[in-house]
Order: sequence, then structure tokens, then C-alpha cells
Amino acid sequence: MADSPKTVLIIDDEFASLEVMALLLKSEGFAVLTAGDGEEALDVLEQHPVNLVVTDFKMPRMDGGELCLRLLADERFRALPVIMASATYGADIPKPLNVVAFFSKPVLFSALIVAVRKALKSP
Amino acid sequence: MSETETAQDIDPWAMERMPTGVGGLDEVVRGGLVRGAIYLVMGRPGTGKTTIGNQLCFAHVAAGGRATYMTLLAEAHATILKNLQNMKFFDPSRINNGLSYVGAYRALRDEKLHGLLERIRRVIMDEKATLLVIDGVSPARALAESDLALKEFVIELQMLSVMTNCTTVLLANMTAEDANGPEHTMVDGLIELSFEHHRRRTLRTIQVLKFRGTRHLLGRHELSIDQNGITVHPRFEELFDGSACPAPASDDRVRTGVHELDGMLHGGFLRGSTSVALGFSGSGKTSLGLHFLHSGIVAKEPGVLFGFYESPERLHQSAARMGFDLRKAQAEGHFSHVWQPSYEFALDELGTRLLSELERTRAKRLVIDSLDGLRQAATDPARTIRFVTALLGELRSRQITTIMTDETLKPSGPEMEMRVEGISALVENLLLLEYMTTDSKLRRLVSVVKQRASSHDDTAREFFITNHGLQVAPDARSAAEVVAEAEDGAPHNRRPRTPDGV
Repeated sequence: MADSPKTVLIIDDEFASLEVMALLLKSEGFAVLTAGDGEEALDVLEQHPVNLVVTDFKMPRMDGGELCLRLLADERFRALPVIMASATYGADIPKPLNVVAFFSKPVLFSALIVAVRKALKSP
Repeated sequence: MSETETAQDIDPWAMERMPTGVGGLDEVVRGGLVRGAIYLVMGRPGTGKTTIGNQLCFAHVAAGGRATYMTLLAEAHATILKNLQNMKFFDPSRINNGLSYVGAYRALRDEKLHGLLERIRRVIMDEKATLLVIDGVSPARALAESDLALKEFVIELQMLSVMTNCTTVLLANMTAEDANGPEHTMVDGLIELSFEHHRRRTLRTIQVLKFRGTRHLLGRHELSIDQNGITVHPRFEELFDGSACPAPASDDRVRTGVHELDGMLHGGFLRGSTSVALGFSGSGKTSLGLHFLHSGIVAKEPGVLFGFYESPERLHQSAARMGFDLRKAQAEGHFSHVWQPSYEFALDELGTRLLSELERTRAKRLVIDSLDGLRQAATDPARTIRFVTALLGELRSRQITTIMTDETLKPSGPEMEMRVEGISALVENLLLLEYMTTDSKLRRLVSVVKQRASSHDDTAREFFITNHGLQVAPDARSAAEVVAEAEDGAPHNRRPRTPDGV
């Protein structure tokens, strides 16, 4: 029996970015969940098992930085890897420990998928 | 902190450009399409949308990219390919070898815009396309559930293009007047192909209405479609700033080939200067041009005659009568004759033809015979002076010594005038060729009205058109007789002080 697909939670307040990233990751065989900001992401995480988080940095209500800190503070999510992207901040912004890769937006999918596979240790 | 990476294949903000492969278009958009951006090319049927879409694809593949031409409700692929077969860019070996043709209407019809987006996603990923042309986007508009859904689709398509680094070009059968939909506001670039009608003449034009990330050349530019595919002819005065070009710097002289005239010019024209030879029909302007070019042939300075009236055969015969073997010079690469009827090409296309011939031949001398040909090619008469200003500036910057002929409305007299107002102020040198009748005999005079930055002989000389070309009298005595006799005769024979107010 084939392994069940790994689940990626994408968090972005930009509609097109969220939709297209979901479309592309699904096409690569991942199960995809989406959320519009950090608070919504925490709700999703309470309800579904997730293997990787891909989040925008700047978002309303709860931004990506705060979300990372909240994940680190929660024993259930501490080991969950996070890929972060931002259109307004560069790679030199302070990154919480659970951030395994950072991208400046717009993100090239060819680069993102490499980071996703590496974070999930999938081929 | 665990290992953190900043992985990115390229810097997306570096605005990596992709040459279009459409002659002149890269100049208009100053460098080509932006990779990963989305463009809308619109126009009525017959304006060249399908041609430009395919030309982009073939050029992209020839440059090492991968392209997909996707149709919705458009011509059959076989029809498109059949119509392209005479185009030089068409290379059948590229089809299914870097360039694919796919249909996507069924996905759109069955699953609306979500289905189309998924089809596009699949094509980009499967074909590894770096350029996608979508022909016939009107059905997407027609089948959109709402304006909002269409807007979402365009934004998603834009994001898909960015994330996959695949430049997307949409072809739409509409005009700028219809350009108020979401697809127009969301795209990175908006290009319109259209026809312009001037009396019985129709010009193809291209206008870049929007191009994010660059200062493109505004306004309409002429466009031609022939075996080379589409060629854009950017407006000359936008490309070349004539006023910025310096006057001739050196005292190096370029001989006209007419001995006594060179004496009147105190050695010849300054290298890189521009001149107008002004005179009535039959006054010897073209002969003077031939002398000038032949003198260049002797001096191993290649020359170009850019003409509108004398066919190559007639020109060779005229030159042969003067003892000049232009065929031989042409075969040896010292002379080139570009001949075209003035009504066949638009002004900027003529400019492109001229400059490319000057580059090809590495010409040092140029004769434009005549300014009237340029004037007739201009659909907007007011543009002639701007075009000529830009052209002369470019010729000066290339150190090409130029003579333009221009026909006066009368053979002599105070009413003599140049047809393009202001030309005389643009050129360094002005030669006047006139003729008068004395005792029922035609007598010709030549004078150097001005020679900027140089002294010159300011007397008129009589000259003769002989079997060996032009011969100028060694002094001004006979000219003085002609003028005196003419002033005793008909009033129209009275010599002007200055043509064109100079």
C-alpha cells in the first residue's frame, strides 16, 4: 500500500499566492491545507495533522514570525518545519529556530519544491 | 536554529529580460519581455496577433527556451502552421522539440476557469515551458462565471507565471477601446496591434500601452509583416536624439569629386557633415550625388545611394555615361544602391532600411535622392522634419558624410523654396543648383550658400553637364554674365539672396 501523502499547510493572506501554491503542491502529490493568517493556521493545526508549514511573513492578525514562535512554544508543534516567504523583508530578518528555508517573494516554484522535499526528506 | 536556507534560482526582482525575436520590438520595450510576466497582445483580425505569437515562440525556442502555443477557440493548429510556412522564423524541426501546440478549450468549456488554470498548470509543468502563448482568450471571458471569477483567474495566471518563471502572452481579438476588463488591468504589459488609414494607404502599427518595469517608447510605431515575420519600426525621433549629436569634430575634408566645386568648398565637405543640394528638376543634383559617391569609390570609402526615383538600371546607365562603373563598384562592395518607390514604405521603415544598409556596407558616404521621397513616405507631414533631424543626427554620430538632394519649386528666382520647412537650418552645408535662360540658352549656376564651421567661396559659378559629368567653371566671371543677362530678362530669373530664408 502506498504511503499517504505528506500534508503541507500553506498560509498567506494573498489569494493568488495561496491558490497557486496549493495548485502546484497538489500537482506534486502533496495534500494541501490553507489558511489566510497565523490565527487561522493555528485552528487548522488543532484539527489536522500537518507535516510542513509554508507561510508568508507579513499577514494581518498574526504574522508568520509570531506563528513560528507559537509553534515553538507548543510541544505538539515544536518539531514542525516551517518555510517562510516574504515580499517585503529580506533573508536577513531574524528567523525563529523552526524556519528551515526562507524565500523572497515572488517565489519560484522550482526552488520552493526543492526546499519542501528537503524539509520533508521526501525524494 | 536549524539550518536555514535562502534558496532561489534567480533573483525575481532582477527583471530578467527575454529577447522577443521580433525585430524592433525590443527597442520599443527597451530590452524584451520580462521573464515570468504576463502580457496581453490585442488587435482586430488580420493585425498580426497569430504571427507575433508564433514568432515569439519560434524565437524563444531558437534561443534555447521551451515554448507552448495554446489555443482556445482559435484556428486549427494545422492551419496556423500552414500559414507560417513562408516565414523565415518557421522551423518545423522545433515542433514537438521544444515547441508544442496544445488545445485547451475543452478544459475551459467543461470545467470553466478552474479547469483552464489546471490545464495551463499541467502544460507548463509537463512541457517545462518558459514561454506560453494563449491564442484566443475571448472564450475565457465569455465562459467566466462572473467578472470577479475572471479577475481571480487572471491574478492566478499571473501568479502561476511568476512562480513557474514562465512568461505568458495572451492574444485577444479586441482593441484598446475595449480594454477595460480585469485582464487589461492585471497584466504586466498591454500591446495593441492595429491598422491606421491615411487616405488610400493603410499602415500596420503597434502601440505598447503598458509595460511594467521599464520606460517603453510611447505612441504608435510602424510595423511590417513579410517573410521575416513581424518587424517593428520604432519612431526614429524616439530612438535617436538628433539634437544631442555633435557637429563634425575634425577638419578632415571629403571631396565631392567635382574639382572646382571642391575648391569652392575650400577642400570639400567636413567629414561627417550633412548637406542639401537644392535645385529644380534637371539641375544636376543626382549627377552631383554620383560624383560624390564615385569620389568615395576611388578613395576606398564605401557609399550608399538611397533613392526613390532612378531605378538601378537607369542609375547605372546615367553613371556609365559619366564614366563611372557602378556595377563593378557594387560587386566590389564599394557602392550600394537602395531603391524603393516612396509609396511602398512608411517613414520609419525607410529609416530602418537605410541604417541597416549603412551598417552592412560600412558606408562612409551617403546620398539621399531625394528628401521628397521621405516627405511622401510620411503619413503625417509634420513628422518629416523631426524624422530628418533624428536621421541627420545619427548620420553625424556615425561620421557618415551625407548629401540630400531636394527639389525646388522653381528653377531660380526669389520664390525658390525648400519643401520641408526648416531643413536648411539642420544641415551644415547648402549648395544651390539653379538654371536660367539667356538668349534662349539654358545656363546653370552653382553656389555654396553656406558651409558651417568652414570658409568657402561665396561666389556663384557656372557649371555644365557634360559626357563626363559636372564641370564647374574655374572662376565666377561667366556666372556674373549669366546673372547680369538674366536680370535684364524675365523677372523669375532674378537670383534669390537666400533660399529658405538662410
